[in-house]
Amino acid sequence: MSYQTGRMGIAEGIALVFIMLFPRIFLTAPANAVAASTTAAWWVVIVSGLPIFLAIFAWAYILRQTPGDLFSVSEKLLGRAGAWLVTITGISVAFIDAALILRQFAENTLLTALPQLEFSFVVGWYAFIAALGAILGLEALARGTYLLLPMSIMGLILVLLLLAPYYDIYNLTPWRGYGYVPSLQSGIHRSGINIGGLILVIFSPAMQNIKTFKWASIFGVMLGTFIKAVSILVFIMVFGVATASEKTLPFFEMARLVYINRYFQRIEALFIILWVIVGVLGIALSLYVGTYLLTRLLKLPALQPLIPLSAYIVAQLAMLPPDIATVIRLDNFIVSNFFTLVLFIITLLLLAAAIVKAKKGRLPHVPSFDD
Amino acid sequence: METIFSKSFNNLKKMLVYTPSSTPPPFVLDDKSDKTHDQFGLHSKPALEKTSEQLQMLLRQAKQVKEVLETVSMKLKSDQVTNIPQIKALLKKLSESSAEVSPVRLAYDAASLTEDRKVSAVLSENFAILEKLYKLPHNKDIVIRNLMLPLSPPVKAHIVFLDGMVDSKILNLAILQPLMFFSADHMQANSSKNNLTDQLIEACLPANQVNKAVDYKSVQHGINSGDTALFIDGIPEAVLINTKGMVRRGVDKPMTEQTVRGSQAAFSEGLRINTALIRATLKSSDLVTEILSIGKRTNTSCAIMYIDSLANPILVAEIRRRLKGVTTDFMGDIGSLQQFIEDHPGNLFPQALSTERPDRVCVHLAEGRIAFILDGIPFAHIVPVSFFTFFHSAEDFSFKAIASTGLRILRIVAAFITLLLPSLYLAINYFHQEALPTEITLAVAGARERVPFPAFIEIILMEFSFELIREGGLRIPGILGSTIGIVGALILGQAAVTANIVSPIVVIIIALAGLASFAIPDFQMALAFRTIRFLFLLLAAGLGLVGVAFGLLLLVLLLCSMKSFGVPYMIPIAPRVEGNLDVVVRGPVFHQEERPDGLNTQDDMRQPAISREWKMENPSGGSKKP
Amino acid sequence: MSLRLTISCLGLILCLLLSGCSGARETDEVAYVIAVGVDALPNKHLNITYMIAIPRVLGTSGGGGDADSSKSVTTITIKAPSLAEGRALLSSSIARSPDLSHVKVWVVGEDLARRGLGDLVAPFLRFREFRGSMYMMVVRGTAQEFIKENRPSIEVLPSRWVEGILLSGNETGYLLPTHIHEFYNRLKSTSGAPYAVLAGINPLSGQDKPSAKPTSPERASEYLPGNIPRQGGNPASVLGTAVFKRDKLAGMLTNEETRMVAILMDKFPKGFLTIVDPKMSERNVHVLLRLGKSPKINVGFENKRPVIDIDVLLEGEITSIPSGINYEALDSRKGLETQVSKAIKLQMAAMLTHTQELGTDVVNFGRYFRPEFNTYDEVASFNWNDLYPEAEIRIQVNTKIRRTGLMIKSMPIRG
Repeated sequence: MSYQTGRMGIAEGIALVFIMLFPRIFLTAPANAVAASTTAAWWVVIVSGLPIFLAIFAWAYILRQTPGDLFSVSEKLLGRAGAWLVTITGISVAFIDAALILRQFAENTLLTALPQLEFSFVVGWYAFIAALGAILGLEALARGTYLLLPMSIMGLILVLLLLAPYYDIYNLTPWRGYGYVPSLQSGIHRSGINIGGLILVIFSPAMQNIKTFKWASIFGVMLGTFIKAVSILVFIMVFGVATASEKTLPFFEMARLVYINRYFQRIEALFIILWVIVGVLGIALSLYVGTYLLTRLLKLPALQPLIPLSAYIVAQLAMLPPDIATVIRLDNFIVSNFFTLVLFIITLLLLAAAIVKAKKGRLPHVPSFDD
Repeated sequence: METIFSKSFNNLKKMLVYTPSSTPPPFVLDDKSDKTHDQFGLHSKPALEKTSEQLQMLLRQAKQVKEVLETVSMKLKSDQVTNIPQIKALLKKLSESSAEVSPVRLAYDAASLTEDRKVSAVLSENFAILEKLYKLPHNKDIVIRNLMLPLSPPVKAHIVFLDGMVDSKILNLAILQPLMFFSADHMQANSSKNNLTDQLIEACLPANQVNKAVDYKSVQHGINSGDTALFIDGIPEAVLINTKGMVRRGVDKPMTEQTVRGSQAAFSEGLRINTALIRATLKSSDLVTEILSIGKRTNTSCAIMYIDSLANPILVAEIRRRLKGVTTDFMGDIGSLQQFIEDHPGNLFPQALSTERPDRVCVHLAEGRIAFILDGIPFAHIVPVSFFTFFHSAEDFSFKAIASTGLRILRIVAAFITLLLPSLYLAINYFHQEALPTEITLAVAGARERVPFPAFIEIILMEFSFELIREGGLRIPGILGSTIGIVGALILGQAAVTANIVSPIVVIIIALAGLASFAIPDFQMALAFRTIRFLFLLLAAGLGLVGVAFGLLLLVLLLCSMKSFGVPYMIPIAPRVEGNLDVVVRGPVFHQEERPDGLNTQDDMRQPAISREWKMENPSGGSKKP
Repeated sequence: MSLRLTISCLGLILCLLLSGCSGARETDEVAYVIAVGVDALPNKHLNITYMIAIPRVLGTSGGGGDADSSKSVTTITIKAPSLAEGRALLSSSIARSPDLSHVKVWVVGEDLARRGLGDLVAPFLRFREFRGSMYMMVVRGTAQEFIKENRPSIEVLPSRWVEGILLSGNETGYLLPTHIHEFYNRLKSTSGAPYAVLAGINPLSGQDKPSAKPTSPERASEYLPGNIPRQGGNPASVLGTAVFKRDKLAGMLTNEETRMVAILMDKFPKGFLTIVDPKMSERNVHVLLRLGKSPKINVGFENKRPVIDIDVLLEGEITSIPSGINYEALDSRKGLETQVSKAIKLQMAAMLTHTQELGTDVVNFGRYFRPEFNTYDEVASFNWNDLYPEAEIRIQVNTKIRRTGLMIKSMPIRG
């Protein structure tokens, strides 16, 4: 097949996983989290990351049994019908994720950076640039993300640190939020938001070995969850629960609030570069994942000609919801329910199939260096 | 009948009536009537020409026979017995040469192209072929001089050389003198003709490089490069003697890569001078120079240099393969050669480091890279390189680590400034006026109140004039050059501001951005950034900071997808490998232990971990107490 | 292939150009509003005053030397039912589109504040041009008059004057710079009263109108803005705090009370204090005070009554001893310290009584109660603002005089 995913090391793996988790910080997700768990929102995010850890370990086991990418693994374990089901679910997750992020970032732009732009124009431009990024290939995306990653994280941390005069630690009390049990429940319910952490499963032939896959995913998810927790922490400290749950764009509002002296104020315009880059990278990667699974499913010879088409489809999908309130509600609903279900069901199904096959001895356990 | 009336009428007519002067029609270069593509070496001669060739060859052979007959008859008439062996030798020579005019051979020779023919044993045949090849007699560059070798019997010879390409002294002293004066002493009279050339080469030609050639392709190649060809009557071989001595510019100072510390030698046009300069620094037996010839009509020599025990053999094979696979007509510039062999010729960013300093080449060769040099161009190209190599200057390692690191960071910041500053100004001016402090915003707005153009047109105008000044300044002759540059920039800028055509802040921004592009050490990289800047301007004017973000992202992704001869362009950051302390931050010279990882050289370690062994020992003088 | 590429590139550029500049505005198409004032009108309308900067005067190749504050701004007042309508009507008279992103300060008139700011501020932060880092000011009188009378003598731009004053409010602790962000948070959070910095117009007549007489051992009187006996300079004066109950103006705190609030909120950098000399009651001692460490506030419940324990440590530097008594020595210094602590404690008690009467918890003691609860629901249902007037507050102030300035002791005047 002419599309080669190349060879990726642990650094690029971390970058890929992180960029799947990162864009939602710049959207309404923190405000939704605060509305759901009030003062406990910051550690509930960490709880949401735990199912992904377990899923990564499960997938490491599955991949040790049956190496290959998502399609070939499910084909070997579940047969043709199962493989089709799993891959179609993967495609729908990727495209819906891309469409949701695209729409929200476009609305974000219209709200903050370029308020007088035409709506379809913005969506079109985002989709176009994401398509260009996806056409350049996975290696370029992974390496470019790895290059831009430290600067993005430092930009975010800079904003969080510059708000130090406004911190009020009593805004975080009481620490339990609505109570320990409701918070844990809410955390597990929302763990679908981290489904991007499993992206390396789809590209596992490109990783050097299982150890690379495992550690890259773990580090990436840890980093992403940590950054999310810290940013929600600062968000609650600065705004307090009541005001925080009202905001459409938490990061933008935080950047707006920075006021150090006469010259260092109103700096949110410079952070536009930061979140636009992160958003386009997220869209491009989701687009690439969906297109990759589609080509594997239909056994097409090449990937690149399909990308403009999928970009167009994703753009049209993104323009479907009528207004931004619907989009935010839809995003919350889909992430909490659909993604979580997919995460649990697919992982458990394939894990069960792998264990059954291992016990039946049809696929002997292949000893590898990282046992 | 010429009456006075008709005469006066004619004179009047001549005076009054306008008669156009009878000039012939002007010269017009028409299209070729028959547009058949002339593939390389595939055109065949028309049939009549073949027949005329054959007849001419027979004619020459006949003349030869006639000469021999005359000589033999003269000798026989003089009635000397000692001439018999000579006559025998003459007749043997004639019989051998007549083998060349056998019908098959004749047909074949007549049909083949002149340049594909082999050297003939008959001197007049060779003379005829050379006339045809070099378009004698109206090509005055080529000189064919007749000699008589004082052997017994004396043998006729020609030497052929290009005037101006040979060193006349060497020609006279190393070829003509020994052949004409001393060859008799060193030759044996009755030696068989077969090793006459060998004997001549071994005993009579004190030139340092001598080759034998049997076909006209090599003869031509030799003569065109400045060798002298020696044709001897009766021997189907030519001797090519190295007399290259074209006048060349000597070793000069570098013109574009000046340094404060570091050698001031730069490459020159001669290939051998350049390879010698590199050898002078890398005195290693492992340094290999391979020479290829590129270009059908130019036959330019291209030298590939590498250190055999270091460079990755796969890489060397790949470069050799690419250079050999270039089929073109004219190759006179190493830049166009680079575009023939590089991975992404359409991409603005350079994929080979072009330098005119031998010391820089040696540094990179010692790291395991490969250099190629073209004859006639004072530049060397080094492959494979990564993006960060272009921000290193030649004297980075002369200074201490911290100073050097500061300078490198300054260059990278300069690259950002030249790329982004005008676009950021435009984006903030149009869309994000809240980003600046109020006083600055009002000052900018106040300065722009009087300017009639929109900000975008202002910036384009100033950019355009800056590029004009820069490009024009390249072509102004010597003394006037810098004066006009300064005068032009200053007065133009000042007058534009006073006339309220542009606002002063735009002048400052464009000047800063332009100056910053000169801080980038590599010219092609600076050119790439300068060109992309215009794209960013468009994006910023259309979409504000979102457009700038799009542009930045696409630029980074494009850079990450490029490869320079198999090595990813942004190594060692993406993909992440062990960076030696020489990427942006430069570590101390005694910590540079490993070679760059991306090159996969055969030997990774440059220095042991403790490279300053003197620190571990006790000093000779001073106290013994620690 | 290259034909397709060329056509698509051209098509893209055409799209980019034909989309109509997508909202790009030249700097000379924008009017920079640097201050907005809002007043109440009888029929629920608003009297909106816009202060617009004139860039031409401030441009480099233009005004330069003779730019003066009256010519650098222009003020326009419009009566309209809402902010949005007022802004729309504004573009009927100025030829540029107003840009509110450079607004430094929102000035609210006293009447509107008394009527209630809920309609104005609560939905404020929805529109993207309003930001939380703008300052908010309540004026005694009308905002229109304040903006008109504000003529700074040193700065060119009045907004620069406002910003300068509010940033340097830290010099004395007599005013609490308020961003809309803080006001808004207090509106929506479960405890704490919204407050805003108070301003007024001084008649510049030199008349002294203190709000309260000085309580010994303090010497200085307390003032509300506009009442300071002053002649010359900018008629505008910024001092004190306006406190709100829910969204209505409940009362005004004088400069001394504001300083106490600043001490308790840990926002007090330094300030001068003039007290009666403990050993010679007709002379003063001047002390420069700082907070030694953050005030320790412990809260609890006793018999269903909230109890607040406050422990403040102040550090002082003696700046002037007119009487010449050697307060640098250990025992007399203790006397001075006790005097300072007494002065501060009395002031603080007075301030707390005032706020308890108004029912407004400016210092936001309510937030210290939050760790006592288990879940957020309990916090949300805890109505602190009603419990505050009954709270018992115990204050303890300690002062330590650390530095004595450039003189180590005072010699008497001879002759």
